[in-house]
Amino acid sequence: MMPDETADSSGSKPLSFEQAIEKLESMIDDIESGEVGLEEAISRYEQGQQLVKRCRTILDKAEQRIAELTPDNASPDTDVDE
Amino acid sequence: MPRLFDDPPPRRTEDAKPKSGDAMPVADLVGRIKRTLNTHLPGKLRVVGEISNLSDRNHWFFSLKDESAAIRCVMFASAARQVRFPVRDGLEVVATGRVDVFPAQGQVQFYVDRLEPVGQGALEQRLRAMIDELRGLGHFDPEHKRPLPAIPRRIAVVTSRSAAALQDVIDTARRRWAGCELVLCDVRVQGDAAAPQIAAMIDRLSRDHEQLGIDAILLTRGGGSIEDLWAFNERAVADALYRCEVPVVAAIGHETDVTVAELVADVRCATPTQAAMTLVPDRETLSQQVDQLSDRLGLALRRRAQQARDRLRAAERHTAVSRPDKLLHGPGERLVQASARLATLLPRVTKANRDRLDALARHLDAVGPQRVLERGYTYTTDSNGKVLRSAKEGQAATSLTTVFANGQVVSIPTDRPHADAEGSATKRLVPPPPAKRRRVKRKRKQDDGPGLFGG
Repeated sequence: MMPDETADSSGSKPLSFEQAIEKLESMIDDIESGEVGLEEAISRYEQGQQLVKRCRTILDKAEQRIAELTPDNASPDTDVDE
Repeated sequence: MPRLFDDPPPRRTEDAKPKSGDAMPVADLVGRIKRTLNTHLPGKLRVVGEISNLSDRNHWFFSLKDESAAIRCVMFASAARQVRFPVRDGLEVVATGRVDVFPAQGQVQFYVDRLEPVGQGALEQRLRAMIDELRGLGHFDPEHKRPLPAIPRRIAVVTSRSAAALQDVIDTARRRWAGCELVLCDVRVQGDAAAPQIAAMIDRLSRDHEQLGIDAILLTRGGGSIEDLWAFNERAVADALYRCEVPVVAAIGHETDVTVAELVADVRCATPTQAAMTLVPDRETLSQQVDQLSDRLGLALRRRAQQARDRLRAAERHTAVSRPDKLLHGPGERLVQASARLATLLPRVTKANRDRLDALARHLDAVGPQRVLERGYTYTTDSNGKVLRSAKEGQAATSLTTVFANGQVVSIPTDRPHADAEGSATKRLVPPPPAKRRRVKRKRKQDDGPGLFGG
């Protein structure tokens, strides 16, 4: 499992690469706009750094995973998760 | 058959030798064959066979043959133009037409009105018909195409486990970004079972894609004949792809083959490798994107901090903070400033009033005696400029200055004793106010000089 430090605010599911990138972009926009206070900007910067780390971790996954889904299998969950 | 010989005798009986007396001319024979064929064969026949020795310049000439027989065929240009599929040697066709004899060669020929393909030709025709139908239904509409995910987490690869295409996809995906997971969905890609399996798999992926974490589908198969690829032209597959909620990239057969599945898919690729490249993002590109965002994040915070510093500095420079003593001097300064303004303002106001007064005075002068003088009146003063109001005053004066509108004349009074008579004469000439004399002019000429300067 992926280290879960950048879990979505709503809960447990780790962010996908795309979600992390989107969130990072919106945080940068918030900070750049100057509309958030300095403490808030620093806090977002720290969260942003976690997102950068999360993205790099996803990208650095070197091992290719190939799951299999057979036509007859009725419960797709089991055969996808390795 | 004996009736053949009962027919009328040949025309050239005179020259004919006795041996040939019972022989018939070729034309008769051919004519009889023609009539027999026309009588005993239906006017419309359908014949199945393989085309050979095709000559299709204007009218088409070819043979229809099978394992044991062949017949020459003619298709006139008007009929040949109606043929909608490529005709070539070896193609199996059903020909519709009639049998007749071409007398000049005595040849029995099949005159073809219509050609239809069978076998592969029939498949091609079915494919074209299907494409036309699905296009009409909007299955290929660009508006229906779903955009591909920029960074798919999981891609379902729908193909046969044994297909060479699968290995191409796996290799390409690994080379670009191993972090993108592949899910092999093993289906038959050839034969009767193929189409239902593919359709069922697409439907299932569409239904369960969220649960499975599938962001895109890659449907692929290597090259083959039209029969081999036929499953991808089946309606069931086309419909499943059309209603699929997950974006589908398809690469089926060689680049030159077009299947219905590829036309319905959201993106068509020439090869399995190209399909994998289209779906799997390149790690290097993603990495650069993350680096750039990381840089922007740092820069944004530095800018934000600088902005806070600038505000602090501006606040420090503010008088209230830098020179609190000035706050006390403030009210006094205002008073000094106000009195200074007042000091400059007051003279300006009085001067303006004085100027106005002068202007009025000048105006008054202008409308004074001048107007009256312009109407022909004059008035007379003594040498001191005092206006003379009676003859008596004039007689007493040493010199008289008569003022006209455009100048003045100085004269010396001479006949003082007749002053009264003169006075009345003058009165006649010169109306009321100041006294004036005609004679004055003349007198001035007589004794000029000193009088001018009013002695």
